[in-house]
Amino acid sequence: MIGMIELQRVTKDYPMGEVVYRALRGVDLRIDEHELVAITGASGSGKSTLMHVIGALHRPTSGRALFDGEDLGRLSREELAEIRNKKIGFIFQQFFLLPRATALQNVELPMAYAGIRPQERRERAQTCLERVGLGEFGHHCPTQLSGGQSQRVAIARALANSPRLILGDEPTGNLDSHTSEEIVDLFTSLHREGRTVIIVSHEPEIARRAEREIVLRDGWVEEDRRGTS
Amino acid sequence: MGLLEMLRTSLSALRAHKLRTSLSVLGIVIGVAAVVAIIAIVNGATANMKEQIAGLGMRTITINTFPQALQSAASIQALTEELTSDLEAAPSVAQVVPTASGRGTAILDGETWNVSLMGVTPDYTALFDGFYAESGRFLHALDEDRKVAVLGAGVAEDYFSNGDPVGEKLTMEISGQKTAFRIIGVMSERGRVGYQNLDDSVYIPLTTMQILSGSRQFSSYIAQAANEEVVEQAAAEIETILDQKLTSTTPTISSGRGSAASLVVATSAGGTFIGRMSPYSVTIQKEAIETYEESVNTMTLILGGVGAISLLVGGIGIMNIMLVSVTERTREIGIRMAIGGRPRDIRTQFLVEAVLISLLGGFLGLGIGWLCAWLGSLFGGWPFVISIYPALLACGFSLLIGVTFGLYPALRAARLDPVEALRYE
Repeated sequence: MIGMIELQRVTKDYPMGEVVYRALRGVDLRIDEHELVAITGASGSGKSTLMHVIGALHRPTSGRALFDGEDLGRLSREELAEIRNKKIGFIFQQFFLLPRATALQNVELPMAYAGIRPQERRERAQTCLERVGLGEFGHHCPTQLSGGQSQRVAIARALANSPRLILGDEPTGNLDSHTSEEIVDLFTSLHREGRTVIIVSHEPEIARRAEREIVLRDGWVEEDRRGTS
Repeated sequence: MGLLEMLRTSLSALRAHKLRTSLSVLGIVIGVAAVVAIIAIVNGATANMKEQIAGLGMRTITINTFPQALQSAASIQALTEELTSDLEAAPSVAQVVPTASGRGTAILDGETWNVSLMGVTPDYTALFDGFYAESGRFLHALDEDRKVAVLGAGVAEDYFSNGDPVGEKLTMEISGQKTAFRIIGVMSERGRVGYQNLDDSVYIPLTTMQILSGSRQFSSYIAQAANEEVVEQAAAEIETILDQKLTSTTPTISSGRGSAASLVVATSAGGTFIGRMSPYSVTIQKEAIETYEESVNTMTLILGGVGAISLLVGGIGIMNIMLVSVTERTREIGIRMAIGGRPRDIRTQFLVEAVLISLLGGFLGLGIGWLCAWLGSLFGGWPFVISIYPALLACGFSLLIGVTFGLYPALRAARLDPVEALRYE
C-alpha cells in the first residue's frame, strides 16, 4: 500500500540572483493517512519548502512527490490548484484572510472555486464556523477579529471543502501562549476526527503533542521519531 | 467560480478604489462619447442636408455658367434668353427657368446692408414646394423691366420688423447705381434648398436685373426633367446643347458633368485656372448628394479617427490601472491560489474587472455622446438621429478595449507563483 504522501529523493532549488540555493537536498518521506505529524527544524532548514512541496504549492526540482499516488511534478498549475482546493486545507502563520470579505465569505471562497452553489456554500460555511466556535461571527470582517479568532476563521476556511489533509505553517506563530494552546487543541481534535494533520512549527509544545516529529536540518531529514501520545 | 461570482468580487474591488476606478472609466467615457456624438451629429447633419438637396426636387437639374471662362464676346452673347428655349426644346426637359444672381446694397432710413439679389422669372416659385407669396404677390410677366421687388421671409423679418413692408419703397445700389424698388410681396418661409437659402434673397424681375447689371447673360438655369427616370438623360441632352452653343468659341473646353466638381474647386480657389475649365456645370441632385456624402465620409473618418485615438488612450489607462491593481493585490492573489483558485480563475477575475471598467465607460459614454449629439442638433437645427448602430459600436468597442488592454495584466496575475505572492509585502 502506498502512503498518502510519498517523497522520493526530493530536491528543491531556488535561484537567488546569480547562485542557486538548494533548500531541499534529497528528502525521502512517507506520511500515511490519519497521521498527526510535526515538522520541526531551525529556520533555513527547509521545513517551509518541504511544506510547499507537500501542499502542492511548489513542484520539486527533482525526485518524485506523490500525493495519493499522483506525481505532483507532472501536474499542470491548474491541476495543482484543484488538488489544493479539494484535498488540502492550508493554515498560515499570518492567517491570510481576505481583508475586505466577511468571515463567512472567507470561508465560502474555497467552495466558490470548487463550484458549489451559493445556497449550499453559505450553509456549509456556517457549519464550519460553528465547528471552530465562531458561529456568531459570520458577518465580522477580519479587522474586527482578534488574532485567535482570525486563525479560527482560517481553520474554518481550510475545512470548507472537507479536505483529507490539513497543513499548518507555523499556525501559532503570531498568537499568545493561551490562544496557541486553543489552536493546537483544535488541530488535535481535527486529527481525532480522522484527518491527516501536518504542522510545521519550531515550538516544542506542538512537537510534543504530535505522534510523529520530523526534524529537518540543512535540507535533509535529520530525525524521524514517533512519540507515544 | 461562476461568472456572476467574479462580477460581484470585481465590483467590490472597483468600489474599494472609487476615485481610481472613476478616472479609468472617464478615459473610456471620453473616447466613446466622442465617437458616438460624431456619428450621431454627422448622421443628423447628413439627413438634413439630403433633405435640403432633395427639397429642390429630384427632377431638378442645376446649370451654372461661368461667363469668365468664355474667351470671346460671341460666346457670352450665346448665353442668352434664347438658350432657355433651346434647352426647353430638348426631349427629356420639361421646363427651364433662367436666373441671375448678384449682390447689392440696400439703403433704408440711412441704414445700409448687403442683400443677395435674385433676378428670376414668374416660373421660379413653381420649382419649390411651399414657396409662395405670403403677403402681396410674387413677380408677374407684366412686371418685366419694372422696378419691383419681392422679399424673402428672412429679409422681411430682419429689416421690416414693425409691419408689412408691401407697398413700401426700398432703395438698392446695384453695379454702383442707386435704384428705388417698390416692394410688392413677401415670400413664405422656405429655408435652405440646395446650396441656397430662399429666405435670404430679394427677388426682382430677371429683365430688371439684366438692365441694372448691364449684361444679358444668366448666371444659372434651373431645369426640370420630364420625370425622375430621365434626369440623367436630360442632363446629357443639356450638355450636348451647351457644348454646341459654347465650344465653337471656346477651344479648350472639357466635356460634360465629369468636370463639374473640379470646376467648383477652381472657382473657389480664385478662378486662376478658369481658362482651361469648362464654362458651365450641370448638376443633378443625385450627384449633389453623392458629392456631399463623399465630403461627409471624409469628415467622419477624420473625426472618428480622433475618437478612436482617445479610446486607445483610455485603453492604455485601463491597462495601467490594472497593472497597479495586480501589484497591489499580489498577496490576495497568493491567498486565492493557495486555497484552490486556478490560474484561469485569477485571469478571468482581472479580465472581468477590466471589462467592467470599459463597459461602464462605454455605457456612460454612449449616454453623454447622445446628449452632445442632441445639443448639437438643437444648435445646428437638424434632426436628432438616434440609431442602434453607434450604440452597438460603443458596446463592442469598449468590450474589445477591456479585453485587449485587460489581458496582459490578467495574464501577469495568473502567472504569479502562489508562494512568492503570499510572501509579497
